[in-house]
Amino acid sequence: MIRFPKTEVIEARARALQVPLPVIVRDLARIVEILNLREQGFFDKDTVLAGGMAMRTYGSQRLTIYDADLSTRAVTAPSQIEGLLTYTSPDIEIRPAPLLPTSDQGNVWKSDPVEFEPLWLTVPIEENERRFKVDLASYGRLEDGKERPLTDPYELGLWSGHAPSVMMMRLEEIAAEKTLGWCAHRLYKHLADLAFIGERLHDRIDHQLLRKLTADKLEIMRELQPNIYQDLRSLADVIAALESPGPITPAQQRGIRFLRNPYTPEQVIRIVRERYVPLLKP
Amino acid sequence: MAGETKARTLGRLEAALLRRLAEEQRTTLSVGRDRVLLESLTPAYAMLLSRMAEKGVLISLGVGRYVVSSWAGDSLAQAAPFNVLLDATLRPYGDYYLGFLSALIEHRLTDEDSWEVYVALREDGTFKGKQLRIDERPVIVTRITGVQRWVGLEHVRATRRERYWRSTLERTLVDSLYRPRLSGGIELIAGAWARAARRPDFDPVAVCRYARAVSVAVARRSGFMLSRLDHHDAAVEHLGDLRGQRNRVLLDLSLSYGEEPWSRDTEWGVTVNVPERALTGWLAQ
Repeated sequence: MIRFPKTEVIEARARALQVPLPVIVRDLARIVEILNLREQGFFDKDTVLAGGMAMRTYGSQRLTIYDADLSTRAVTAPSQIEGLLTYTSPDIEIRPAPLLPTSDQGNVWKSDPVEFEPLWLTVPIEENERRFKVDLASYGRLEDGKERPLTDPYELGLWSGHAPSVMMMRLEEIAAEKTLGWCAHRLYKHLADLAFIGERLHDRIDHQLLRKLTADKLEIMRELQPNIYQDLRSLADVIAALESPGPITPAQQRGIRFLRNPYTPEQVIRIVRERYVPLLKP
Repeated sequence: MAGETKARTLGRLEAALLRRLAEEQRTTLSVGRDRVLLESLTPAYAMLLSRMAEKGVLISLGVGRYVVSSWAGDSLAQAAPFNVLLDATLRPYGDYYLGFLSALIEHRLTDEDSWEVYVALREDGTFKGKQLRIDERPVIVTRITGVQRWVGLEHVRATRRERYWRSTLERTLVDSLYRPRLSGGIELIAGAWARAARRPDFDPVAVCRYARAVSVAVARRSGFMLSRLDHHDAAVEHLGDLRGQRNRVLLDLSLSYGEEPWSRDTEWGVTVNVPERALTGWLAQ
């Protein structure tokens, strides 16, 4: 699975990065869970890892700490998936809560909390910190996944050889979801991720595919959540929302953490306007 | 980091003290609270504790508080969960609670985390500073004035035998509108309210009760938030007499978005000083 780092090594990294130790331990548990699902054949071109954990495999340094976002376009039986989430080894035990629907349409399922017992650790961790959440979305996935190697975000030496690969959501599809995430929900983390994509990954983006996915997803979301998307009628509205994001407050800036190379809000706004928005224009 | 492991030879009294604490499944020791136990072992207990700290079997937290180290040379983190250390450190100063951003995180109302830890003390608490450090983490201290505001707290289990004080989910939400700068800012706060309002254990009546205890302004902000989150009936039933007041109450006391001609919610008399588009998005998370 992974090489479980010694407690002292995790403690040292936690202090150096100023990230509470239980946060790192929780992240390791999420990585184990992803690898467990991979071992059990859960991932394929239709069922992928998404969200912040997938962004990390493209080099994102933003700290993502609680959710493991999965996305599927296959018809799945939640009860089967719940069984797949269970994992037991001498180093860690993972026990999921029942997978329950979280939307009226029944197209988002979550297991919350997934509880874990970090048996390899020599530090006591409180019960409410030995938990994470798995979200499984079964709407709006449009493209085949792509296999990518996982990362070792805290440089703890998790892999004995090559990093294992997992099916991820395509970069263009992640970008399209984050674009709508910013425009509809105004969560600064999405804008910061778009800046990262615009600056570091723009040459990997298929512009035409990005435009098409953004427009297609917008149409889907306008149908699913008309109240939230009512003023986002077209790609032009989306571009306008990215070009004029409005002020980013110091609290929003403090609210997202980068392990390395943080962006300032001014940089985020400028990079999105100058590097990312052009990717959306014909 | 764990220090170098020291040779661990325990004297009879040291072993007896550790045995007693182990029997009670405790990881902390307080000279004030455990004086009777200590005196029953030896009148020279100060010397005993000092020797044990030197051997590394006790780790001093200051002001007569110690954490038991299961292995000599343990770091503080290895000796006890953080909230046990927090309780052991703060209790000598009087009543306290873990709250604000730290409680929002613990109640899972945000996906963010924080290296800083946020606590409240009563106004007569004997700690006079604004910040202290526990195991290298900054602990930001704020004071709550007025006995009527000391409500909505829970004694949470940290280990099998040790507990710490924390604001309840509802009190944590109320505090976020009372001290927004300590609670991560309005984006995080609005998202937290939205998450809480969807939870089956969410108690809007408790929100109203705590909000009223804190202040009329906080109660009006809470009434506004409850109304935006489909709990309008509960808000009207329990805070309805506060509606329609004319004096200005800002939704975001931290003024994140500055001074503009913001719109005013006429029912609760709350000036919505954040962009409406953003607020709608945050509340729909």
